[in-house]
Amino acid sequence: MNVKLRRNLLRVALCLIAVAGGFLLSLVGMYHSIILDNSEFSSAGAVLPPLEGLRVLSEAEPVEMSPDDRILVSTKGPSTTLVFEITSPETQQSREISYTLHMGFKKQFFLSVPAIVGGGKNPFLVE
Amino acid sequence: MKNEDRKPKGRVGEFIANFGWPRIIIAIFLLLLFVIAPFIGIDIGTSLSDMLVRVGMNGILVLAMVPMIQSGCGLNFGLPLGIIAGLVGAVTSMEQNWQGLFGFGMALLLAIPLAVVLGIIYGYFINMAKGDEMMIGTYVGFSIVAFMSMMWLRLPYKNPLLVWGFSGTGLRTTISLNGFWMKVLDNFLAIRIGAHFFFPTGSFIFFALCCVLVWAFFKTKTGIAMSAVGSNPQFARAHGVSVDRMRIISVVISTVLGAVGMVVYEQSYGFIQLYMGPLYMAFPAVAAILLGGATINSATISNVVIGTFLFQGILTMTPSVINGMLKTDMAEVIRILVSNGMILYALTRKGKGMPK
Amino acid sequence: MKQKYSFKGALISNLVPIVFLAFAAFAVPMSGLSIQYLLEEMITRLARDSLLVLSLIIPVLAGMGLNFGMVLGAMAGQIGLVLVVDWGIGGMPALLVAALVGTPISIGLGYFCGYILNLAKGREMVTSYIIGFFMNGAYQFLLLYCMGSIIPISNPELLLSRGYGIRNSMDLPNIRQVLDRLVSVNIFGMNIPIVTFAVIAAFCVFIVWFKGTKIGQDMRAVGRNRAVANGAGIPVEKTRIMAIIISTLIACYGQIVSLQNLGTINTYNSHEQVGIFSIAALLVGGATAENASIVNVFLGVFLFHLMFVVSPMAGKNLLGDAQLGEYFRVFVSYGIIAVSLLLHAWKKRHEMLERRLLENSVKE
Repeated sequence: MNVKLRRNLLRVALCLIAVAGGFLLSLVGMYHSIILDNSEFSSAGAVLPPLEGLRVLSEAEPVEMSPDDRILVSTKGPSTTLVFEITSPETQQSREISYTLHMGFKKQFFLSVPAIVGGGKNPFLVE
Repeated sequence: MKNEDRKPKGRVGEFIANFGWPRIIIAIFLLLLFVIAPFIGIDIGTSLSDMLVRVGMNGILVLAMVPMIQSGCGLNFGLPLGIIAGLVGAVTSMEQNWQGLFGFGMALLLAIPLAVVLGIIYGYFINMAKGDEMMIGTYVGFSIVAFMSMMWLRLPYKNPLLVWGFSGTGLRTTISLNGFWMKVLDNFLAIRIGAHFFFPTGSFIFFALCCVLVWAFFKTKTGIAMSAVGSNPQFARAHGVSVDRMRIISVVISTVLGAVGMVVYEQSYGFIQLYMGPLYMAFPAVAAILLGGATINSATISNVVIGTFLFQGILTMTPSVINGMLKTDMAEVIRILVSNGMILYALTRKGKGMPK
Repeated sequence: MKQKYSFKGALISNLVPIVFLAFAAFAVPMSGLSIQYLLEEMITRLARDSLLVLSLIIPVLAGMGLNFGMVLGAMAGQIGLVLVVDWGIGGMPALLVAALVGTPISIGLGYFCGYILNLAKGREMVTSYIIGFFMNGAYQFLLLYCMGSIIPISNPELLLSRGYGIRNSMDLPNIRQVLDRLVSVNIFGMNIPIVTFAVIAAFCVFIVWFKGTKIGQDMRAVGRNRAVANGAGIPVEKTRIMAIIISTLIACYGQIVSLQNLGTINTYNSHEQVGIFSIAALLVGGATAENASIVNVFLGVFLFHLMFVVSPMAGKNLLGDAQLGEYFRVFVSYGIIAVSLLLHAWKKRHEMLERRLLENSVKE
């Protein structure tokens, strides 16, 4: 019985490892679509206007976003860091904002850029 | 209907054992389908007619399996060779614009000699391939369908109803028999009851005729020798029977029946399908005869009849009933599962007098 | 019974590849395709399909003939890929997860196939052929009716317009050539997918190693003579089932590799031709239903695909019709198998007759 038991335990363990490995691989390989929205964002109290001179740098090539613009970003992996560069049209000064998003197994995200830049707690437009 | 399998009514258990549980299950299933049908709005008259027409359509192709099974050559997966002969005969008859029963008869007359020639060649292959006949039959059959696909494009057929419009050469993929000999057998002396029921008398008469011919053949000296070759080759050889020659004869008969069966099939179906159409046509015939109780080395006429009825019945009724119940079209999937399932069942049984 | 090594003997035993080489030598210039193009195509196809053909070796070893049931493994791999695409996974992880999902399915299907083949001893090839068709029906039932209805599919792009059932063809944008491009070397302007070949090599090593293990030797014994193997205490039935399971698994991975190269899944068609073409390729490479080696695999894939690529163009230039060339290609594909099987059967009878003559002369 000892040999049989050990063998079965080994098989169960291997199966669990395989399933766990599957989960990990799925996490690492998951593709997510993130829609970034540059229109007016209003939540409890604060109203944040759309931004001027906004560029999203985390793509292969920087993408400019005008007010009320929306772009789709496709990324892979459990988390991603979005980098925004905002150039004020008057002062010509730029600042960079980074935002890290942990995506897990969810595949679609809808974010408001003004909310992120403004330091808001909940930039999600649609859950 | 020849019923060597039936036992006296008293011994129900033995009857069941001989008939085989799978066949009984399928027969009951078929009956069930007929019972359910009216409740779903399917007309029994139409369904019955469909089934009968299909039996007449496919019967002879199933019959073609018998000679090769009896002579120990296994299931004739190379039926496409006979089918091709039938196609050539039919197309040539149409090329000459022969119509009606005359056209049908000429198609047969043209197909049979070709089938004999093809059968002899195929027979030589079968003899080379003792032990692996089914596999080689399949691929020889496929090869010839592909070869003929090339030929259909090039053969000198000119009838504008048969060839492509623009180029004027090369036969069409599907040719309608409308105006030629569509349904000539089916309609011959047909019986119609009411608006829905139709009995294709002509087809059945022709089918019965062929069955009787085959049955009679197997009672002749040659026929008995053929069966002996299948069940006990050493015994046959010891009595001076040439095993190889018998096998070739069985292949020829099988191929000729295939050709005849194909012409009958076409007149009922109404269309001639060339090119890759005949590729898989052996499989339903194989499934039908196996469903009828035949094994790889033994087949009787009753196997043919029962098998064709059951198989075509299932194929006709199951899709319409299931479609009616679930509102989906599963006909194709069911056909695949049932026909191949039957072949599998037969392949896994231990038949009497196994080869090798 | 050792035959003297003679030119004639070598010619006969390698007849099929030689016929094919002759055919190729004739058809290649006829097709008008450049050597560069052909070489590139061949490398791509070798990387794509070799693993599938490799799966056929083990059942031949165990005396079960050419395993048409490898189609079942291909189906398992496809199901894995469909699910992976639905879950939104991409890249290398996608392939691995697909393989992970396909593995238990392959084992189950392989067991089923092996079990039935055990019931049909002596007729394994035809039976596995029909099993392939039968399973195709079950696969269609699963993908065309169950998926999207009973089995939830979250990505509506995968479904047919009626709301359930997987679409006929799916692009794999995130998976396309993922394995191939992992490490690719550029020689003479051709991209060589190193990792893919490494994976294939790994499986070759596995097969060679496996042949040397106890189970491998058991299989060889079963393949030579079932009764003797049984007498020696080898569990014949279990060994045969094991051979089929391994074959199905390798076919599953092979199909995943093949599809990642193509970048598109033809949901209902991709696996159908897999069996026919892989077996044709193996036979062209000189294998028989009793003997198949790794050399047969690569030689066969090369020659078969060469013929495959060259035939339509050759047919067009020779006979003036591309459609004719297409049918010609199909004819040759099926004809190869028929001719190989026939030649092999003829050879077997020839050898048996010779042996009988030899025995008779020894008796005297």
